[in-house]
Amino acid sequence: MIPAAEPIGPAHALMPTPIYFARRGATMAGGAPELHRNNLARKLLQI
Amino acid sequence: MNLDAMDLTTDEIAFRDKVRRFYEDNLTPEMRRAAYVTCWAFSEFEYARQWQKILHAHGWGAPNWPVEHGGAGFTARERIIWEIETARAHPPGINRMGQNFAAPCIMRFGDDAQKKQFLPPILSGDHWWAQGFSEPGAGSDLSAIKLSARADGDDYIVNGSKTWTTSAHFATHIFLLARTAIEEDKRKGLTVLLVDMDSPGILVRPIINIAGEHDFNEVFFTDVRVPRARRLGDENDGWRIAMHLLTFEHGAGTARIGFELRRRAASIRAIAHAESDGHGARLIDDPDFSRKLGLLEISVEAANAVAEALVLGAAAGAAPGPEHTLLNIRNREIDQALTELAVEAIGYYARPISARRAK
Repeated sequence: MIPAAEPIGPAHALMPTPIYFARRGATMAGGAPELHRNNLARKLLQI
Repeated sequence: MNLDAMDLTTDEIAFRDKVRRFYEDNLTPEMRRAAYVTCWAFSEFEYARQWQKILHAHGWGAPNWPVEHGGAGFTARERIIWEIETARAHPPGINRMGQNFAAPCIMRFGDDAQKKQFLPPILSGDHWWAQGFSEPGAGSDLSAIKLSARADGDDYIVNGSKTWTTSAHFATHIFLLARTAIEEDKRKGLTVLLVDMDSPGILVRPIINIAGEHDFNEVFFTDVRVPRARRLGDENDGWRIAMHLLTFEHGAGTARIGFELRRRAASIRAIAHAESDGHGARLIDDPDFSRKLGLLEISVEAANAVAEALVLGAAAGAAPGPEHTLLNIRNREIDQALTELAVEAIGYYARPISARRAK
């Protein structure tokens, strides 16, 4: 399984990918930013 | 944001130095590592709990709370200094779901017994809370919640499920938004319940991402009995409580988040100085990469400028408004773009390996 593989490369290369996958989900809390933009736009435009 | 924008007084400089010394004296190498490998909530939960206990012992368990509930009594400007210095020190995460979200609602809508029962253990780190809002089909449209709570004698009987529940596998309690009535206006008929996670009938199923990290969960409720005494506020008044909570969620950590975005942009710049563009030159000298990084750095600085205005305005007494929500959305977009560019920067090392393998 890939997550069990030994890390390769320099130390600075270890964190970006797990952070990318974790934060991609976390920053969509309550819906993607695009949805929130649309919700706000509907509210402001009263439509 | 950074402290340069604040024009600190002599007393505030002394306070800043005191906070810095506290972090230098109390953050162990193990705790720093735990924070380093944390991708979202708590990669190393035990260190987060230890850290909360240290904060509590120092009287800084929940600096933003009112003093009567155990807050640190910081001024509004000291709270900003605290946030920024905390971001700089980068300790393990605290239980934000309990401290910043559940607790303010319990303070505002809870009865005396609930305040006495729930607030001290959040402060001490003995209770950890999860937020039970999102469901399959009810995320951006929170009013679509289906999880039901049916009154039965002195209890509610809860059935349904929640998803994307951060830290439910560590949590002792969950702040649950449940449907207690079917109304034409879906925002009516919702009720908040304060639920023990070890109640019979609760099943937590992990959502593990491709890198092997476990931050989120599905939580299933099957005939879970919750005493009526655990209802927060009035029955069918949950929407108002949820909106109160979300105001905190979207406004919380404005100063800290700006600082963290800036640090992550700086980290990508450092990587780009160390990595090759694949043709023998430094990645930072690649015009395309450099342009993308530069645009993101400008976005980070613009968001920080807005954050400064909001945070300093709030410290001067301005009421929170929709600007916090707008900034929250923008920060998320920048966050996603930064994480994507960081992966691009490390090129073929970008394998989905668990962060906990970091030495």
